[in-house]
Amino acid sequence: MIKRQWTYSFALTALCSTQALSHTDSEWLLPEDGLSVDFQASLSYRNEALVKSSEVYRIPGTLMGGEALPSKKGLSVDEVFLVPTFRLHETYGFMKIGRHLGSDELELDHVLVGHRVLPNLVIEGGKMASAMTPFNGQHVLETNFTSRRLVYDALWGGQLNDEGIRLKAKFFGLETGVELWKGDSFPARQKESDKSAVDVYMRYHAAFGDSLLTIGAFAYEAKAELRDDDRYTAGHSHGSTLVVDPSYFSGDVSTQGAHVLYTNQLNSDWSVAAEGEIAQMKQNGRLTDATHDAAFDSKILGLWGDASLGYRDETLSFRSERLKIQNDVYGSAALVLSDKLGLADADDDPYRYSLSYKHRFTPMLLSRIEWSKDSTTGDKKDVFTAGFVFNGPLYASGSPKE
Amino acid sequence: MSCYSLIISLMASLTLSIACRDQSQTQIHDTAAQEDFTWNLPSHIPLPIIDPENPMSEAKFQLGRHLFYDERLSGNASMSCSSCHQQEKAFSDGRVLAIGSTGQTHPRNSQSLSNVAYNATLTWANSVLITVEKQVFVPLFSETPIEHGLTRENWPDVVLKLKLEARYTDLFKMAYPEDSDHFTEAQITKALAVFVRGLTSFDSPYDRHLAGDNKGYSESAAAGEKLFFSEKMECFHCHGGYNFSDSTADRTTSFINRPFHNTGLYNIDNTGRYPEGNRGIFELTSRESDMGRFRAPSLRNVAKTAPYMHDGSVAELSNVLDFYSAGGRNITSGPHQGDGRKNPFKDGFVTGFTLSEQEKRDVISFLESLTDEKFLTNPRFANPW
Repeated sequence: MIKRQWTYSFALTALCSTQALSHTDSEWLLPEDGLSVDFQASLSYRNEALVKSSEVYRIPGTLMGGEALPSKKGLSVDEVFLVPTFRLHETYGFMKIGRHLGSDELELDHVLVGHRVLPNLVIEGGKMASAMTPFNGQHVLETNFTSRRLVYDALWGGQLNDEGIRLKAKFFGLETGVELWKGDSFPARQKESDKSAVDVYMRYHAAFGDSLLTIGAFAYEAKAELRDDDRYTAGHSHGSTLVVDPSYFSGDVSTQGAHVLYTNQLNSDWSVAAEGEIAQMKQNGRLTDATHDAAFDSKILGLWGDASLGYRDETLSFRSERLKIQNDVYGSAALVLSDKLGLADADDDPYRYSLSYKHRFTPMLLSRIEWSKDSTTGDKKDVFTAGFVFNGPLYASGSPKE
Repeated sequence: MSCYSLIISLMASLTLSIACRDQSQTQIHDTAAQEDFTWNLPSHIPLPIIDPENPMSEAKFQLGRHLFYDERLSGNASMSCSSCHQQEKAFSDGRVLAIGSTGQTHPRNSQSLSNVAYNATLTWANSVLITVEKQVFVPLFSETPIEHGLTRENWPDVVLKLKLEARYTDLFKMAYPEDSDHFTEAQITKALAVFVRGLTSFDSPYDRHLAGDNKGYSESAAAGEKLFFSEKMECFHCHGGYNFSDSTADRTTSFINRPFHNTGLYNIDNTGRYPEGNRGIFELTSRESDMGRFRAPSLRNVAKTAPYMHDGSVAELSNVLDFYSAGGRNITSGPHQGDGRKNPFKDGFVTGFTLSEQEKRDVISFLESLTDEKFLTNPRFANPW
């Protein structure tokens, strides 16, 4: 309760201070006028899958859920999205329909409506990805790599994507927002309507000559009631037929993190970029299944960072990711439930190193090859990936996009 | 460029710092498992529930073993627990009905004590008797019928006889080192409970087969296993799980089921009634629907515990299969006349089935594969006198 009060206070203070200072940056918050439809797709070939199609993907020591499904071996369309966006005066909308990494189902991933109520203050609502970090809303094809970030798989089920309302503002380079969620998406799971999940975030954007720097932080709190791993169950199967004997987590979830992004256009040919994040999730509650019950305390510390070097249409990127997991399970069912949920397998820090090379043919089409050393499922694997990404407008009216 | 270097350095140092700390781990905190007693259980079998007021210890187990086999623990010094619970018969007695120290006949068949620690309830039909500590009072002090024949009047004499046995002095001291007074009723019943709870049996050919060793597990038993766990026979619904009983609880169980079943053994005058004095948990609840409902016993060592059913009225395993194959028992004459197959309170899983002679032999082979020969001969469980 104290933590939640602290979160609300933090949000209120952030928004009040925003209002007091606001007078610029207002256009930054809204899409372009008119209607546009973007198309995104990625095609990849992998020599290795993290798990067999008959196995459940689990990062040892973590309770997983959401949309954290593994990529597939061989040739596959990793992701495909159709993204219509419109803006009419102060009101705008955005949809994302398609299929994300690991899934076999087309779904309405996001549908969002926003309205600028004050020059620097916007309210948005719908089924949307959280904006608490600049990375959460990204699908894999929008990044330099072919896998979701490990921290996002472990902490957010791939992406924090839920129904909710967002209030956000920006001025003098300071961006801040508060998001109230219905709480139906991993890591939350609400059974009662009077409970919800909430997060607040703040970022500062600065420009130094040809350099852009963003630093930010967020805090998220939620409750989970009988949260199971619904990735493989009916109604949210993502095409998988695996059946998982349900086990549940009920309790409090709190997450905090900080991130940094930096880009520098060194000259007309060369550029460098770096980004990284550190995040911590604490879960405190109980693990249960049909006949077992155990108390559970968990702390997951995740860190990732990547650096890129660009030369004209070529980009070389390296990413390092690591999780540190500390679980304590109490009671006579501790061993049984830990085994069942894969918690007992947490004896090494899951990590992944990735090296990627991209070549951009046109502003909308690029090819990429990637090597990664992956220990996320317990076994160390060398995964080689090659593929193409298309990301561009199919249709645009009104002002052209920059 | 210096800012770029700064950020790369920052991320690199963060990565290194997290990499150099302790490795990820999940710690299991199960304090109940930390006790001075070796259960000798295979790793996949959970620990049984114990009474927190009576923690297990090897010293108490040994004291309990001596008491279990001691005929001085009866009113006329003629009967011990082992009189009705004989090790070679998986701690049953082979009789149709048990006989007490004064010759009175008990209305029920002596149950096996194999893995009694895992029973969700004790005895044949008592939904509120859930600890061995309380159960041991029943045979010691019961009056209808008389079993051990202990009473408040003869108890001091019995204790005196025990005190005269030199071996007990050390056994009590070791079992209860912090107690100044020994040979108390509570100490005796607790030690008996510890011994009985320690009678674990998980080393049958079937257990070894599950562990990957098929020596002693015949093809016929394997075929019988399939039938046993099939919807055709429905056996596993009431006799499933690692202890072959749906009335099973252990330390990992948070929601304990205590089921009882009417198997259609009787249907006196086709009214659903069972013989007087043997009517299952109806005798506690007086609910009509509880008529004839008894606990499904574990089938561990079942081949050694004939005769069967709560009243010992079915002689052999083949008769048991015939009984369930018919979906109950039709008694055509006598005081218990009635068609048990049509008992209105019969369990829905007792519907009958058809087995060929070979299938019947296979199922019996499977049931025989549940016999743990080491349990029947283990000197640790044997008479110490």
